[in-house]
Amino acid sequence: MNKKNFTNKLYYLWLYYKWPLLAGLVALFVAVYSLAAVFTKKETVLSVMLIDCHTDVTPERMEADFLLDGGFDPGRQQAEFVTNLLFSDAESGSYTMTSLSRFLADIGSEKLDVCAMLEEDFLKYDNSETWMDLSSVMEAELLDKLEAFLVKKDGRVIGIYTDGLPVLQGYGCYGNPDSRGILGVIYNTPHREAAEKYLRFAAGDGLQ
Amino acid sequence: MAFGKKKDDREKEQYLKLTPKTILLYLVIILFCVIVISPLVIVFSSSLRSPENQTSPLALFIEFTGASYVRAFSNMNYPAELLNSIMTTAGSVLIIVIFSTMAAYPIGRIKTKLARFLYFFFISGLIIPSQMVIVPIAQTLNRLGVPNTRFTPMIMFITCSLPFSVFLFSGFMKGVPVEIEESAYIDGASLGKRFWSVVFPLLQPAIVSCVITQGLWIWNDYFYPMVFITKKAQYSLPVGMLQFLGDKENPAQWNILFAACVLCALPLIVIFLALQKQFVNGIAAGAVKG
Repeated sequence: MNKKNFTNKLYYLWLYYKWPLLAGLVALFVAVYSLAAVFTKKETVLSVMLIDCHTDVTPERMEADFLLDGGFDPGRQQAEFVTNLLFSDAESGSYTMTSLSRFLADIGSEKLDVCAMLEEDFLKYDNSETWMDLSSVMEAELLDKLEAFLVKKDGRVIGIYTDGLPVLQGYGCYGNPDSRGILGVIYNTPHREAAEKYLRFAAGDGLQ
Repeated sequence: MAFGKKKDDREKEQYLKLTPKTILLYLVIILFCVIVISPLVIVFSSSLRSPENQTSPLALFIEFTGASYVRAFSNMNYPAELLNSIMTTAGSVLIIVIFSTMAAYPIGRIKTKLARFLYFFFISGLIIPSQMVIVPIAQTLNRLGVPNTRFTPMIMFITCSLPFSVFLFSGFMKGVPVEIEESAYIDGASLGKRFWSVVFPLLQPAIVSCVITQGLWIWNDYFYPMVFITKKAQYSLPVGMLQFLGDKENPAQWNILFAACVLCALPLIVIFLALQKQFVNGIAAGAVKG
């Protein structure tokens, strides 16, 4: 008898209150998700974009390597690595357009710190002074070490050829000798110190 | 009734009788079906062949191997991406339907200059390509402190879909007889009750159209997820599928790419088969309305 009453009550609730109940469940999900996102939010210490980088190494591994080397706390801090963007010779023009939009959106929203791409594209984007003068970011000692691989323009050091960066070579990025890659720091980088740390790490200092 | 049956029989006979006109009609229909179905058959057939047998796309069903599907399924992290796609599409479509019907209600009912201005205000959104404004939007979202999560593209999906949806619903709203609402008003129904219990159910054909068009677009879109999502765990199905896309240095493995395409479209096909009756009824109800 009690069981029947309970079933009847449930049926009554479903019949008359299903939409408010469903709306309540959705609102509860959104509230719990938002709270969880706030409490588990990690501080982004660096954002790196490797465009036209053909590698099987996952962005997660690249992040773990850098955080470990830089002495960051992976529990509370994160580094964002984007490796799935293509500017050159993609089999879909729409994909190239989307990659370009992502690149510009991240620069516009002051999120992007370090970016690597093929030489031709890299030099093209310097026409609008996208790249920071690395001599203002890197120590003289590191600049001397990488002298043979520096890309200079109008007295500014705008990038480093990826041939001189053992970490990127180790990941298998920009391995084609016909199309060299260049790594640079974005002019409005919000994490200048972390960007310098990444250049030092990519140059191989961190792996020693 | 008897007259109707005779008329149906006459129509059937007319179509079964092979005259030059019906033969031409059948040829056009067959040609149309071939044009529509052949890319799907080529994609499905190629997904079942190994890379060695990919020389000609027209070598249909010469091999049946599921290896491409296994590789696509595991590389894509399919269950997680499917869940992300379902949450994004369902959430966006739900909010689009609620917001746009609510916006279209006064626009369709009230005959003032303000309502007319609001109508054109919404419509003006249709002429702005969203790709053009992605940079200022990304800047604004960053300034507002909106983090990059699997739900961030929903903001764009909803925003970009509202102009079309409001246009669709406000046009349809004008065809809903105001007398039904007036009788509910006389019975004591409040404004909210009149909208949700009287007007909203009558919008079913437009809701079905909106769900199909906007749902398909959101499900297949990879632009916004690629711009706003960084973590692989938050990818939707189309973004996961595009990892198999090749370039000059690494040409695409078409069998895996096509298998990923089929896996991406499979949930939509299942949903359509399950809800086919409702979709067709909804559209048909709109066709005979008025």
